[in-house]
Amino acid sequence: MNTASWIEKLGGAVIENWRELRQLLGFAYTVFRRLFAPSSYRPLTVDILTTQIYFTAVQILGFFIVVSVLFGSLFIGMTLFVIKEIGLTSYIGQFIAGVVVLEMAPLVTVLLIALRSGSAINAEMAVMKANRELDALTAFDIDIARYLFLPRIIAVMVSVVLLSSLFAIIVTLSGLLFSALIFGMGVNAYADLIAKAIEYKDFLILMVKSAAFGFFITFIPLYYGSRAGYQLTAVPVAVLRGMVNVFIAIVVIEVLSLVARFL
Amino acid sequence: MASALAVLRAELGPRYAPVSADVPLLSNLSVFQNIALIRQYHERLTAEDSYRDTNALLERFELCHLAGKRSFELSDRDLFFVKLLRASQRKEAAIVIDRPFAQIENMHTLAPIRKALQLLDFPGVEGIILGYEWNRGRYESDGQ
Repeated sequence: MNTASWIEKLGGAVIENWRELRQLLGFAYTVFRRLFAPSSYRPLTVDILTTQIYFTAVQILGFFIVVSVLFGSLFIGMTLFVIKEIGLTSYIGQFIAGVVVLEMAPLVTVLLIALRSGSAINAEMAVMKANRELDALTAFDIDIARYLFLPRIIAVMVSVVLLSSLFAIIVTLSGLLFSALIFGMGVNAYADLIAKAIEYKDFLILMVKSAAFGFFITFIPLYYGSRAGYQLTAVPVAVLRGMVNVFIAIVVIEVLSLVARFL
Repeated sequence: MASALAVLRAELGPRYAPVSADVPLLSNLSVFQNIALIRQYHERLTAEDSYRDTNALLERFELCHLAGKRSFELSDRDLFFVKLLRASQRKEAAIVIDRPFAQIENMHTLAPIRKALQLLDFPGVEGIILGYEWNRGRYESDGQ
């Protein structure tokens, strides 16, 4: 490959990525403007928001509790056993608060919600685009950002925050059980360890991180879904691109929250 | 025909209310919800407020049996009339019917559509029918 064609290829890639970035930022601007506009919140939006919270958080509740109990108990039980073996019993509080509540709870929750609701939203938007249903809404002057995007984004943000908190509570209770079994620790001693290890800042980080996860695992599928082509073959491509970017967003948020915590 | 629809849309502005094969019903909503959606969004009605009016409209057109159905469960004719009812929900709607004979198979005259438009006696509602010049005879076959 000669220098001229290499530069041409590089230039083409830069222009393409710049165009993509501008579209993404434009989409984000539209969503944020609607998010903070009081006129966006009409009875219809509230109805859809309620339905979406039901689909995202309530329908999955039984399965989520089972996963939290099984996964949380296994993880806590095994780790506490190792902690006892290596003689780091005094760090139980920091481990449960720092690793389980702040890192594992939002991460497990967001992975589950992204796989279930993020992919569903991505496919729903792409199919609506291919069927010209998004155009139909526009033909009737219905703002798709207000009608479709906003309720879904808020519903998933609320759902991830609530389910992360539920996961944290369930795993903390599992920790109580295993502390009693492995260390013979009483409720008061366990509560004391946890209270000393958790600060208000940690709750804030948990909430902000969960909300950020919720925002991006909806925003990205909405973006890629609504930008799909008009052919049905565009649907799997849109879902694939959306879900890969969701995964990247999850990793980036996780890294940023770790940096924020240890700065 | 797409360009004719675009011109009409620009001319009619918020009154533009298409009944077209290119403007489908939302597949994840029932017939009832598709019709109610327009006024719920534009007039900020609650679900309870829009329930009575949408129900009355479906009763007037004897389509109550379709209320809970999705678009894929409807025949051509049912789909057309549900789209017509949805279009009528715009304020002072200018209902633009795009090539009606292409939307309903085995319809030989415009009489059923004219009758339906007469039933939509909301203030300011008007009907505009778009079709090809070469099909004029069929449009005029009921003498109007």
